Amino acid sequence: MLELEGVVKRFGGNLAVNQVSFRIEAGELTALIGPNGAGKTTLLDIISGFSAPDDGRIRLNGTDFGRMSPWRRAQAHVTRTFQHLRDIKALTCLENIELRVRGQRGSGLIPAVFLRGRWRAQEEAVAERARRILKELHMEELSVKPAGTLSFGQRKLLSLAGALAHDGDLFLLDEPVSGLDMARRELVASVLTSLAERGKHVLFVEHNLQLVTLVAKRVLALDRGHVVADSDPKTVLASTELMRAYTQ
Amino acid sequence: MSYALHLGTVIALYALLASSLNLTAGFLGLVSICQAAFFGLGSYTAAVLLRGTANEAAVVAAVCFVGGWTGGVALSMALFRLREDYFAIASFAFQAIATTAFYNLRAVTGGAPGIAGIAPLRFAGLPLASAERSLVALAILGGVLWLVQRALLRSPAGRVLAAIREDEVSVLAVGLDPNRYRVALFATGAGLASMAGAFYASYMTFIDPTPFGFDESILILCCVVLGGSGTAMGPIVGAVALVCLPEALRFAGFPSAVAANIRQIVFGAALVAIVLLRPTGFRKTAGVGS
Amino acid sequence: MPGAPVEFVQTLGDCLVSVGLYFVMGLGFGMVHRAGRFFHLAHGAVFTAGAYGVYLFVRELRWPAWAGVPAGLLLASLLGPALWMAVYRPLNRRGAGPLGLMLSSLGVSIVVQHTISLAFGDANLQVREPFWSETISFGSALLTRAQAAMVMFGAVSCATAALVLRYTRLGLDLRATGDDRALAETVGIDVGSVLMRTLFGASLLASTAGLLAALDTDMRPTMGMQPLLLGVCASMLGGIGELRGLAIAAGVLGVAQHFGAWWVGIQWSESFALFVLFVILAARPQGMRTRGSRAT
Repeated sequence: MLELEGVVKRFGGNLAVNQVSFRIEAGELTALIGPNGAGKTTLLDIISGFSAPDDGRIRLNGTDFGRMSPWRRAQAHVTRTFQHLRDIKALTCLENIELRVRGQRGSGLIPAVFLRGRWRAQEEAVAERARRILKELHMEELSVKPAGTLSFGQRKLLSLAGALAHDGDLFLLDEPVSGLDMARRELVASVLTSLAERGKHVLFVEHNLQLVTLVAKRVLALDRGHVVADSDPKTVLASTELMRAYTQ
Repeated sequence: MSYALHLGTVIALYALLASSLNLTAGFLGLVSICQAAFFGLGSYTAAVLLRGTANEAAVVAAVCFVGGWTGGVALSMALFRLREDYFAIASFAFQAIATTAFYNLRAVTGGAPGIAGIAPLRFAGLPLASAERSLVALAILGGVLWLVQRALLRSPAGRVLAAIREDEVSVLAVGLDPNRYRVALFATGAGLASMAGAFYASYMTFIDPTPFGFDESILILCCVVLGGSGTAMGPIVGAVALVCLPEALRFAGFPSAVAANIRQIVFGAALVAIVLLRPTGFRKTAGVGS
Repeated sequence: MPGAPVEFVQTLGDCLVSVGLYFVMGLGFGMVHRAGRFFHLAHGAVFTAGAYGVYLFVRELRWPAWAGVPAGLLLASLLGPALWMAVYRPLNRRGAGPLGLMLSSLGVSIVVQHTISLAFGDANLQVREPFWSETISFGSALLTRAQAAMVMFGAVSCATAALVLRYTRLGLDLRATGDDRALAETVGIDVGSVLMRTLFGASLLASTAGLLAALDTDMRPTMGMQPLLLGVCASMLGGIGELRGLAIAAGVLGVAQHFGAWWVGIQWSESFALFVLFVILAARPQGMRTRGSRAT
């Protein structure tokens, strides 16, 4: 279970996140919606540790994140994608995915050079897993292409592939389908559903309300830092308060 | 023949220095302008050690390495939070402080006149004074470093380094701390440059502050960026090119003062040209929010 | 330890000369940073070029001073805009970041310095103009006219900069660009032109300072490095691009250098200033920080 209690974040005089509290169960695929500037990405930053909240608590499966640095959270629990895609253009698609697998013994400097035996076998498994993920996303032919040569849609899927490789307990996905064509959107939708089925905590930010209705079990609507709605998709999207927020 | 050996030794020396800087400037895109300061640190340390009875190459080299490594850890830990251009300026300031120290700590460094009559390093009893032996020693060290760098690039850590270079936020999102890599590589590079200094002192038998200044740090940086950063062979190629250049000028008959200035002009122009040709090679992706 | 008041006033006088120099160098450097967001390390070479430019016209080409001085200064000042057109603008267009701009600036600095070396030789050149070497007494302090001019130049630049920033079009545009470049472009400010004009202004300041320094002490091709370094220090200490902070910082550095020399010895005074720079960078990297766990 992911628990947020009274999370507050100020930027100068501006309350970007204002007393946000909610609980998400494992497998409860949850969408975070709201107009631009509502604080959605800021909230993801706070949960993943890239931004320190001014107040409030965040707990995942009982572990209080406290002041844990973002890389520790990522190491143990949190998988995150970003609105501005962060693929490494110097690496191939396969390498980009391999990069994101956690717990590789060969990623330390000393083991990489001097203790080859320890990670050789693991590297095979990592490569295999990366190939499998590429296949799942219908991107096998892009395996050795440098990420810099990909189209936007392909890079977007690559970002999701990296998240699948990272495989934390909590998935924070920032606009996983924005800018994608319909075929790819359906692919992402099925990936999200299977993540939830596997018992992951999934919280995704989206503007595409169609996707939200299709896959989300629960919707959190954020406006100016407040949670203004928290229910199942149908109820939330029918709410006049939300529509008012979106059209203002 | 002896001239060629001397040139070879100098090339091997700068190849080692450039390789040491490659660990950070090449692999991580972390540009610093103080490699010559660590080179000097090691040289003077070795000169002091070689006055006494300690002249076993392995021991002296190890002491110099540790000294440089420690300095590197201290420097990078103090500065790793800085943006890359501020970091470069800070390294520049460190270089300036080091140069002043080399000129003014006369008791240790002999000041501007330097230290003469340095005893050679000994390896298994053999003195490493001659060009052949120094060349072999430096070439072996350089070769090992080259192999290590190649292995690093082909490992999972190599992927991490490429990621740190381009976008450190994605490294944080994987679950790794980019600063550990920065400190470790910077310190190792500093230690290696220091160690190179020991062999330099032994070979030349005379050292003064001239080769440990800002101009040399720029030369070493040019070797790395010119040869192609991010590869293991690059800095070695760069060193060969940039060491042979002034020699070519001398053969063309330029008096040495003129040649020295032309050499520096070429380095400066090369630096500008490199940046113009690969402008995004020195750019990082911005932070999370943007 | 020297305690006589005479020494104190003299040291104070010498200190003010340095403060004036560091302020002027920090001012140009800081304003360029405000306009372009990068470290224009070629600024030290412009300082040197100012001195040698005037030397070229007045001593070698034997022009009369009233023509040679402006000619030399103008030539050196044009280095700024020339750099913009030949190096900085193409780099900006191709997406080079602040580090790339800084490295190119460094490269240019090296080229200029060694070209001057080639043309005029490496050795110290003595430039003794009787008018400027004549000492004037200010109480118990003796300063040469050149030194007094440096102090005045520092004060005048400060006042002028404050007025320009506040009341002129360029000043307003510069402040806008410095605050938010993207926004400035949106409201129609030609940020490239602002940077070019700022570079010209900064170069004018640096070359004049170079001339005054040459009239005071010897000239040599490396003369620009120390003033630049200390100007950069003062900038960083006081907050890059901030006028009042710079003035205070230049004062602090000058005092530390001249009065500190009583304890530490004059040859370490530059290192001391650098050490101060170091400590600032290590301890207070707000705005200098991109690494680590900060979000926006």
